[in-house]
Amino acid sequence: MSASPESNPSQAAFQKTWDEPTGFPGQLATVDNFVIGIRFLATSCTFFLVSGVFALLMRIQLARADNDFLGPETYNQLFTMHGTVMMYLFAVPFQEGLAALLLPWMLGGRDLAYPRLTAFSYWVFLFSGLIFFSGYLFDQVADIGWFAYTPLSAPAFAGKGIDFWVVGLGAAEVAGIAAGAELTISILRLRAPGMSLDKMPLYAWAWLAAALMIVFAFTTLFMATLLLELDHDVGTRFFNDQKGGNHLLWQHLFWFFGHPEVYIIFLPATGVVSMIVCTFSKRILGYTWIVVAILVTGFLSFGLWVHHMYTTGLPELSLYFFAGASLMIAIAAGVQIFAWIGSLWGQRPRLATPLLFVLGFVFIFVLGGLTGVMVAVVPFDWQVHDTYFLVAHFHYVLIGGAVFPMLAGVHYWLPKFSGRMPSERLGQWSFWLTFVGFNTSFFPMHILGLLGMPRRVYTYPASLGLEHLNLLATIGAFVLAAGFLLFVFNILYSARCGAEAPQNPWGGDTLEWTLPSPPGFSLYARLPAVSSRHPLWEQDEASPKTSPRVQQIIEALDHQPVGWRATLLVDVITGQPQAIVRLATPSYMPLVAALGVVLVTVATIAKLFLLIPVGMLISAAAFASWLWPDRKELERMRASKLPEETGLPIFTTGTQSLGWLGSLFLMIVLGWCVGTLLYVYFYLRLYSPEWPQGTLPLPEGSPAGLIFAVLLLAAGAGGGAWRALHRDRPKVMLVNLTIACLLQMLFLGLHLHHQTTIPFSPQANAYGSIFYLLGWGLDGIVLIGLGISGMALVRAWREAEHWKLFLALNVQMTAHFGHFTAAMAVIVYATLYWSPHWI
Amino acid sequence: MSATLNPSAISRTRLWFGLFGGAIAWTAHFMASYAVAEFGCVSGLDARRYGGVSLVAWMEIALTAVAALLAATATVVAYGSQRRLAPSFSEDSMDAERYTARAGFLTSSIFTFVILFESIAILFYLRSC
Repeated sequence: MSASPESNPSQAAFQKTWDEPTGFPGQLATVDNFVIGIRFLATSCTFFLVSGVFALLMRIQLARADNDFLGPETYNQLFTMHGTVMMYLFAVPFQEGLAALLLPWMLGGRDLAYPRLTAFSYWVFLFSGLIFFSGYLFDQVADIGWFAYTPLSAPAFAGKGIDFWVVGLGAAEVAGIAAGAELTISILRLRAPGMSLDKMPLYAWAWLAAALMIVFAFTTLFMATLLLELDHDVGTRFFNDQKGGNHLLWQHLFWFFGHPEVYIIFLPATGVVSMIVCTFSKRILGYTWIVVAILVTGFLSFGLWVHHMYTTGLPELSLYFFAGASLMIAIAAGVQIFAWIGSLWGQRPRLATPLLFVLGFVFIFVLGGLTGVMVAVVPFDWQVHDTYFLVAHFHYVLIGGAVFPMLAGVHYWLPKFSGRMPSERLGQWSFWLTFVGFNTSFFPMHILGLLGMPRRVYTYPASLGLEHLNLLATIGAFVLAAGFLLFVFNILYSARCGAEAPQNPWGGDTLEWTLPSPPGFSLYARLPAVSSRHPLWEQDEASPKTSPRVQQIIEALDHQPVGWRATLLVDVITGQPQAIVRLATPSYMPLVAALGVVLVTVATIAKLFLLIPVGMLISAAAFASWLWPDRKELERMRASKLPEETGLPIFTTGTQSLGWLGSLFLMIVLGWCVGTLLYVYFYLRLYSPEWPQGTLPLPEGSPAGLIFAVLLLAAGAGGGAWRALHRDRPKVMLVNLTIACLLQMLFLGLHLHHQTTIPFSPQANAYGSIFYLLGWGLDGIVLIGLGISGMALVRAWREAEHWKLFLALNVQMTAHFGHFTAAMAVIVYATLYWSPHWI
Repeated sequence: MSATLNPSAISRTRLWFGLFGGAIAWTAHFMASYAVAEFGCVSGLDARRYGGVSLVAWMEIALTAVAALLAATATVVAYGSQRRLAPSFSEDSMDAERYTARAGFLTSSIFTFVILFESIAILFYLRSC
């Protein structure tokens, strides 16, 4: 199971294949998961420290009654930025960075599925953070809380700072969705041969659930922020109650993201805890139960959003469905806690710093979980809603449930990242400072809340008797900050000056500990084979329990291929090899695409709307360039002997192709966007006494029906191209692809013209707004489809010799995306033109 | 004692249905129950009564019955797959498929319970919202 590329004759050529560009410009093109993972960690930690300073400023303000250290405006800005940065720019990106670093090593793949998407995700994340903070340069800082409730965040009340918040957040969501899709596919498909579902590390299981949750939750928030920005910039009326909109709609959309967000942060942290508990106790009890708990948590977390809205006057019956789900999810969390305690019980593990942080996590998270059960109960929540009890509860859940495991994880894997051991003495000191400081700061807030202290107030009168507990909380906050600073110092100091780390300093059981510390050439030149849940403890390297076929595949891929990057794609359940898949090489295009996104966001803030399409074009061109296959690489793949040596295909389509799986996720995300808009449509319909609202006419179906039918024909042409490819008829395929492209362009032209004939505008009322937006959404999907089929068409024109081999995936994606577009067209048409007549 | 079967004897569809059938049933039930409660209560459907029980409550009961049945079916399917894939079979792929079936049995049975647990609230709102 050696990972080192040494002692192999083809080492130099193989290493050259995987070499990353050097120097400053080269660093901008790198797609190395190690480099990008470290960048994610460093950037998110920087945001964390800045946001922590904001928290300290707030605590200074609240230390005394009637304090004037901060004014109300500044205080509002600070709690907005603190919450926003912690939730969007630290908690999730930090976990994503750790996952980008660890998962390929832990799963035994050579990289994540889409290395360029990893790079794109990082650049967009970095720029979104800078956009958030750039509000300070213009004295336009958001002050509407991290939840941005309407109508406070609506055009009538919000200042310019909301633009920085909304577009910065929108960009951060794009980064998150990209990472979510990539991690899901990587975990399901890019594992070591033999690593079946029952042998997958619990960290990967936790991330599998979290990554899927990101895709759905972040997409919903992306759509919500899009609606809010349209209300601001285009004058739509989604959240304007006077014009048929509904301000509560924002809360529904936001919390449909917001509650799963807590578990998106929590689940990967539980994965870290499971790995550390397993290493230190030399066992993990209830593996299957933990997996089941993760899956149950992932689903149930989407059934909790209304428990943030108990006081908004929703029908009582619906409240209790959410209360039920909120209570049930505690059981899933409890199963994991018992499994960890059971694993440690009687094992006498060494109380090293990572385990100390894990034990601190268990203590704090159990308290946070208990108060979570309390606020799940509707009458109790009515009493403590918007009080400091809630502030205490969610800090116990988020810091206890996520930050403590993150600190444990950094301490645990630092030797692997840096090749140096962290200082145990500094680690223990940092733990106790953090633990004591945290509880001193946040436990009194439970009592403050029960005494009636409301959240989000910049001061309070002395007569309320809240001063002593607030002072205690402030002192605790400074102790906590000292603990964090000491931890950061320990990591930075030890990474440079710590004792040299052995390959597996903690005695871990998973594959990453087979790599040298630090990994240097950070991938498996010789792919590992897995036949146990704890490969380093239970597998005998001399006689691995792998089949001769798997051994043959591993031998063939040892320091191979050369000239193109590849790894194994395995069956989801059994982990048996199914194909050899190409991985992307370094490129500047992820950075260029991210800069296009930046241009869109900056143009939105500056109201330079003509620049928005320019930014979109830059991103689209960059995407097309990065997806365009390198002809030389394709030739090398075609000439490769690997298919004969391994019995595995190289040019694959469908579920055995990373390209197809990526397009599947694109369709899932776009479908979810349409689904969110349909929810908006019917929610607005439900609360409107008349539909269409006001004096607007009922939509006429016949002209629009003919236009929408064009997309059905385009889907037929795309399918025809795919069938022609199968039947070895290149000319028919070319004709079909041409027809598909022309029909999509025809639809766009006709639809845009049709919209000019509609007798109302998007600004008329909320009905007008959602009517237009659903149409624009479909136009957007058709544009993406046009990009996919256009790429297939151009390649088909140019490709003469090996057209079937090289074009199959592109043509299949054209066909499938065309069918998806047609399905969306039918749904949108039925909603806009049929449903008003019968609902 | 069940006979030992070749891994291919259990189709992937059965395995995936066993693993996610309960969860999908819960998701559909939850969203539909919420929609019926919100739509029915706001639009006044709860004023219509049949046998002394509001139309909203009848719809919720029907949804619960269908969803619980679907989740229970997924549980039974997963249990059946688990029993048919005997543990003595030593091939790696067989372990993985049996594991998937077992995880499915646990997951789907939990979701069957969750569907029924959440629906207890309906009993307290039989006449109105």
